[in-house]
Amino acid sequence: MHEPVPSAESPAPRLYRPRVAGVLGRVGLALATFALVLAALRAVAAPAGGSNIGGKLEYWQAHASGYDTVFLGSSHVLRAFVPREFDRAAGEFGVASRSFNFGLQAVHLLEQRYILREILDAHPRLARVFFEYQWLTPQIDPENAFNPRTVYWHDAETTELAIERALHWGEKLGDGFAYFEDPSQRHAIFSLTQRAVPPGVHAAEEHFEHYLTGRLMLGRGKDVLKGLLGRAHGQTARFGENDGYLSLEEDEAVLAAQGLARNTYSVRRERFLADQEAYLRHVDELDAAERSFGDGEWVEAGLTRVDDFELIARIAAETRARGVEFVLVILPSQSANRPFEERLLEELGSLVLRYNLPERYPALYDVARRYDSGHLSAEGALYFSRILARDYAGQHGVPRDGVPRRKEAPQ
Amino acid sequence: MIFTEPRFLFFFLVVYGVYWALRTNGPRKLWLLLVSCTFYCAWDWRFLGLLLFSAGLDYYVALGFGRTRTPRARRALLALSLTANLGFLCFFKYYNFFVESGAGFLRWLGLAASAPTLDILLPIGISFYTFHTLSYTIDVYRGKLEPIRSLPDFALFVTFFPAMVAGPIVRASFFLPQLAEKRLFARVDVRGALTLFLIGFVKKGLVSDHIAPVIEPLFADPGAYSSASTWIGLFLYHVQIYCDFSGYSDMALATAGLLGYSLPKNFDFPFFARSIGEFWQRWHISLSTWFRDYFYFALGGSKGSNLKGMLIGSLTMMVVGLWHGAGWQYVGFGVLMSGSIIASRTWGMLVPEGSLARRVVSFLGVPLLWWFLFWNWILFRSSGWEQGWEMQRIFFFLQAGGTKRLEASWLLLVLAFFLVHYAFYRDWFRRLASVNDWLYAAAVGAAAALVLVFMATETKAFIYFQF
Repeated sequence: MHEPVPSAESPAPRLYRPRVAGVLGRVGLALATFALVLAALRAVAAPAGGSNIGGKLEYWQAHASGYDTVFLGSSHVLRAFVPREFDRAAGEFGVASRSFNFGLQAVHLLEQRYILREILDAHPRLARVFFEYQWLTPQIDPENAFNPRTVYWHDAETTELAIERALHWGEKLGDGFAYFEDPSQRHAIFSLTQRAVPPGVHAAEEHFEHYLTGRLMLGRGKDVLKGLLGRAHGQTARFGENDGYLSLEEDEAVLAAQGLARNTYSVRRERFLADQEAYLRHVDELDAAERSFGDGEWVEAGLTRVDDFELIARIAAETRARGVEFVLVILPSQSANRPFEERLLEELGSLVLRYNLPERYPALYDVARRYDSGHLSAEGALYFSRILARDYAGQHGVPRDGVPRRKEAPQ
Repeated sequence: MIFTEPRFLFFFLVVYGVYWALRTNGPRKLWLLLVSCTFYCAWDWRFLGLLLFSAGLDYYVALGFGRTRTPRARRALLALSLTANLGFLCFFKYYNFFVESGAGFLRWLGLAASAPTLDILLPIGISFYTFHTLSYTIDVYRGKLEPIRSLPDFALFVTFFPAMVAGPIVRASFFLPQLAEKRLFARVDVRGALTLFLIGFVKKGLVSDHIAPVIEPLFADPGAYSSASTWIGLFLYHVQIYCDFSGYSDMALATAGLLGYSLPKNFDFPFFARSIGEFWQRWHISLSTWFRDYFYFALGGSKGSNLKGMLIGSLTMMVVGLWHGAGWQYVGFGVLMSGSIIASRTWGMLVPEGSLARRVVSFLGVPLLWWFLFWNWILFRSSGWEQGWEMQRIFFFLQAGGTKRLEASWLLLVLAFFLVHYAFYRDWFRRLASVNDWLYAAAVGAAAALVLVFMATETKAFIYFQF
């Protein structure tokens, strides 16, 4: 009754006299079993990405055929598009639509591309995609380095693209493409070697690690159990109810019902309410080029936000190639980079709708239509959905500057 | 570099491949020395010099014993080794603690005192390798061991990477003879080592790392939890600390075993012990036997009256407590353990063998020990006195409510763990060890896949690394 201890000195260890063919055969068998078990687990596992993303994908895979329009983007999209309001308003302007809000908190450009492919794979005959314009953040936030959320979108194709972009921007930005170092590993020999590696290569290496992590399904046990128990992510009712849309006010009510007082949005709202003058000042300044606005202050600057035209153009072209209309939307909560936006309008080859223009859309910047500096309130979302429907329906009348010159929709 | 990290697996594959590809013992040992130093530098290269200095000092001190015959000179050399090694340990590990405590005591006496603390980092593994080298100098001093002639061999003993950062504490008399002989691949129990590595990996990656984030909030803010939640948390910590530390030891033994070397066993199902004495014979065995042989015996604990034995025994446990860390909670841990040794010995003297009281206590041995260990874990794990006191209050005096809670369903996992653990204890899996090699290979492949999928996504450092 002892814990097992292998010992070279123990009295009668197995004498191991391997034949090369036998060893190779057994290693091969172990690898084959390993791969088989992984494949079996992958087949039964609930979709990766956690209950929000996996749950939304799961809902989409089951109900995609009921929709022809998708809004894809970050929390700005999740809180800004009310599908039923959009469908109703679009119908009034002569466009038939049945839309779904695929907004996901803190999604970024590469992840967004991955999700778009998943969406299109599940529903190849989709009519149109409203795609939120995002920066590329080619580096990985060290705090979330092995978070399932960071890993799940690293399939072979997206990883290849991520590596290509990391190497490209690593070279272009040089020192501006900062290398993140874990302070606790500052004096480790591997950190010394990492410091010598060009930062783009380092970021590329991290993407590759995430690809391997995803392929090996590291830490996906919960998803496997969910799949085996037939529970999946259990979010179907929630997403079906409002076609994916969820207002921050509803979130607040859910939190209150659970006895939880605050989340990160509550904190932002408190800050927003406490200093509305600062918000209004930022709104006034937004027409200046290169202005950071809304959530800009929350984004880790060191992660290097890049306006990556090539990547957006590629995503647009891939979408069009599948017979789906691609509409790029710059939301009323986003920073301004006017020269880049001009380039999008000129060269993207898809419809670009801009709403980060307070002078054109003062109502979208009205404090009453805001939940915080970066997100619309429920009322703001209804309003925005209506004017988006109007602008989209009148797309042929949209001038080259991307700003529809029609009267705003009735409030 | 943690044993459960993928980069360790790559590191070890390279080490293993090159090691067995080398044909003679000398180059193999030099290779191991090189990779051991690299492994240490993967934590912090700045302290490698300190580690090698300690090794070099003890190497030459031991050679000095061989060349010096006068007892006085030998004692001076021993004092030099003890002072240097324990001096480094005390400086790096205890300087701030003693300075702060001293200043606090002076302030308590009403004297103005400020604590000139320093921003000192603890060199990883110092508590372990210091004890490795001390075992060598003391044994050579006592004439139980011949001084080794090869400096690289001695450096390899001190730096041997599987045991360097968190034990087991390896004695020179156990390891140095192994270096003298060429390791034969035919004598390596590859299956046993792989199985043990997998078991250790499961303990660390699947059990300990999953429990860690569940109980961290409890120890950070114990006042927010009810007594029921506190008990659930302590059950979880009970499992976590065992899985974390014994998992590390399993992987260390397995890694060394794959290279043809043995390391001393560190755990022997401690949670099935029925007394505190038996517990220490089964928990961190290499530490408790080290203190027994080099401290308790050296102070004469095994000779003389029972009272003397008890006092030296309790002093030993206090030092064992302080070995774990520089903080009053570790002193408290040591005091509790000391008290338990005194109580246990007194009980042994006063209550006759075979009496009803003995039979009852023996019957209740395991739960009583667990209850006592839970009390100890509070001190051991808490981040300071205040949290420790708060948690003890809730542990002893029932508190309902609380703003946070731990679900009782966690106890099902604890139960499942102990059922499996009990099966190992009873050796119910023995037959599996005799399956043929092909079936074994398939099982390892399947087990590896399951382990990777079910392991925690965040790899936590081993708890004992901080010591």
